[in-house]
Amino acid sequence: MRGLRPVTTFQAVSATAKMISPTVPFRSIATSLVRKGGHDRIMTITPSRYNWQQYKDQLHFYIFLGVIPLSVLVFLVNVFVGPATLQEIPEGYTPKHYEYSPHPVTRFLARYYYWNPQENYERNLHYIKEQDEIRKMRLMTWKVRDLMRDRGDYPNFFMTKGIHGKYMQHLIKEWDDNKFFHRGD
Amino acid sequence: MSDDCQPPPAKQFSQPIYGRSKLEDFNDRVGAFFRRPVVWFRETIVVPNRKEYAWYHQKFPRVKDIDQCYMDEIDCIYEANEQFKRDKLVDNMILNLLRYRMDDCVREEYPDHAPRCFQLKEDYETAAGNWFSRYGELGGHYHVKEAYMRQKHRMLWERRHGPIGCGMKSDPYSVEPESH
Repeated sequence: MRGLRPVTTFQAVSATAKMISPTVPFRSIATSLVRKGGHDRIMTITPSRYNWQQYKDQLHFYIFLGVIPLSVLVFLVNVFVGPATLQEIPEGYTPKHYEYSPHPVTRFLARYYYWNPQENYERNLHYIKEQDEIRKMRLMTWKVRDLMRDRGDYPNFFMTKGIHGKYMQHLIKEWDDNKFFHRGD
Repeated sequence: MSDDCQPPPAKQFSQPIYGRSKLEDFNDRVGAFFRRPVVWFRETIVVPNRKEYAWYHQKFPRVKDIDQCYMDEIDCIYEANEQFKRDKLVDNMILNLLRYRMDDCVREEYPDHAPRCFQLKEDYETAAGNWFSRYGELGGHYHVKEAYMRQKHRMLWERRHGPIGCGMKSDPYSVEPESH
């Protein structure tokens, strides 16, 4: 049978090595370390080095592309640009929203990445106001529809057979004046 | 109106005075050994290559409070809520400063702190009580409407039972002539 078998002892390995076809010979680590070179095609059985190689790869990746460039950038920014000095707001001048932070990196992020708090505040306010107006319109619509359903004097939402709505209003006015009949409100 | 709040000037390390005692000299020399290269680096390389630019403290204009808003003015309520949250941050800082003053006084004057720090302690306790009556026990997600209702409940309680701190009456609904 070709292929590897899980073997643990040296004798078992050499015994199986004799049983397996000689076209792809393989030897244990002990014999193959002693005899290197030559024209044999040897397959060495070694434990996996995958974890070690992955560790080295990731270490190099995060140090050379993460730690070193960011450290250099932070050093240069802190040394050669430096934080801002606190001053009074000059007359008639509205500072930009990023001019409210002292450190240059926060200023950069506030300017190019984060939203402007003033703009966000005002947009929220507008959205809330608009939704509130929609809500008020809906409440009024529902109230009007309920009143129409109860009174039956407008043929808008509900079609009632009988007297047309405009005559109904006159009748209701007469009834109210004579206090014969009061429709529920 | 301009704020009187200026940041404190940058501290300079005081120059060591040699010749008073051997131990002080040793301490000063060890400190200078570590301090001088850093100071040299800052003064020759860092400071000349920097441009000076400004940052400011944001000023928020006052808007209507919650007791001046109508119930259906949702934008007024939103602005009052934001103002309430900002005022809470400011009051938190004020309370912190009062507490730090009291703590520093107690730490320095111990064991004579009781008569000497009495005024600071009274100030802090009053401020803490006021802070609690305004912002306390509101929770994480609070709204200015809840704080307003809390004030209303406190005023009702005071009307029924008297000033806070004098205890509850057994029959709060008894008819009594109002004192105010």
